[in-house]
Amino acid sequence: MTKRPVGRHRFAIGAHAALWVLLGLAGGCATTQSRHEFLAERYPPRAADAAVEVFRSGLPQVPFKRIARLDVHLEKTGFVTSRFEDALPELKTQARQAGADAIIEIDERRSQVLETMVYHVTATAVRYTSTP
Amino acid sequence: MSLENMRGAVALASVLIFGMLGTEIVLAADKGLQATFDQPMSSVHKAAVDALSVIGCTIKKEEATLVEGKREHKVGLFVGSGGETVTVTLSEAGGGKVAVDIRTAKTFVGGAGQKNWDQPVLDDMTKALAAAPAH
Repeated sequence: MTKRPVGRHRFAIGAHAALWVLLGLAGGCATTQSRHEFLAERYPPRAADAAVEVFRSGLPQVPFKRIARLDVHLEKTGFVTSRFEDALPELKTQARQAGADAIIEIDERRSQVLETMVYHVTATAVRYTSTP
Repeated sequence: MSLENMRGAVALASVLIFGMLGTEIVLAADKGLQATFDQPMSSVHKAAVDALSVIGCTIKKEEATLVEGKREHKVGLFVGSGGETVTVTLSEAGGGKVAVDIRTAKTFVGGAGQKNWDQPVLDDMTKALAAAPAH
């Protein structure tokens, strides 16, 4: 004969289930949107594992040309914030798709809609005009 | 279950089903924000597209004098967010200037987690166009 859980036991099971649902919702809802927009001439994409230099300040020491605007937009619910490191992989992906060698002029913006933390990065993709 | 309770349950279920299916009851757009830029139409149009991207909109409609974007719904711990539709209407204002009208339309479901994006869009367009050379 199976014993049915009594009141306290039932409450504990319910509380655990509710906690897992809340944790799932808090950590689970994150969206990422990204794009690149050529400034003028279009360039072919680079290999998926091609190196992309990132200049959080300053500019490359070799001649370069600005070729595209990059946008990465992250939103997370449950008051979870995003960091630059969270956006970086997508920023590099967009740079490669634009045929860029490096990323410069990085501009970060943050805002909030109730529990949703919004983080947007805009940058400029550049192509070296001579080998570094 | 009494008739009143049943009606309440049906109303609640309808709201939840509409929300889950993504069916929206769109509320009227606000009065909007208006501004004029001393820039060519193509530059103002591009600034509008970029500004909608910055607030997390996916462009749904892009015409010569209108750009419309929609923010994706996000399920949250409490109310979530997203679902707003932001429209930028452009028109020639004479003297080579371009007038813009920016409006945010919220939806009935999830309205508590929605925001008016008129000012952030105008701010971003102003910043971008200030950096561009005028006529």
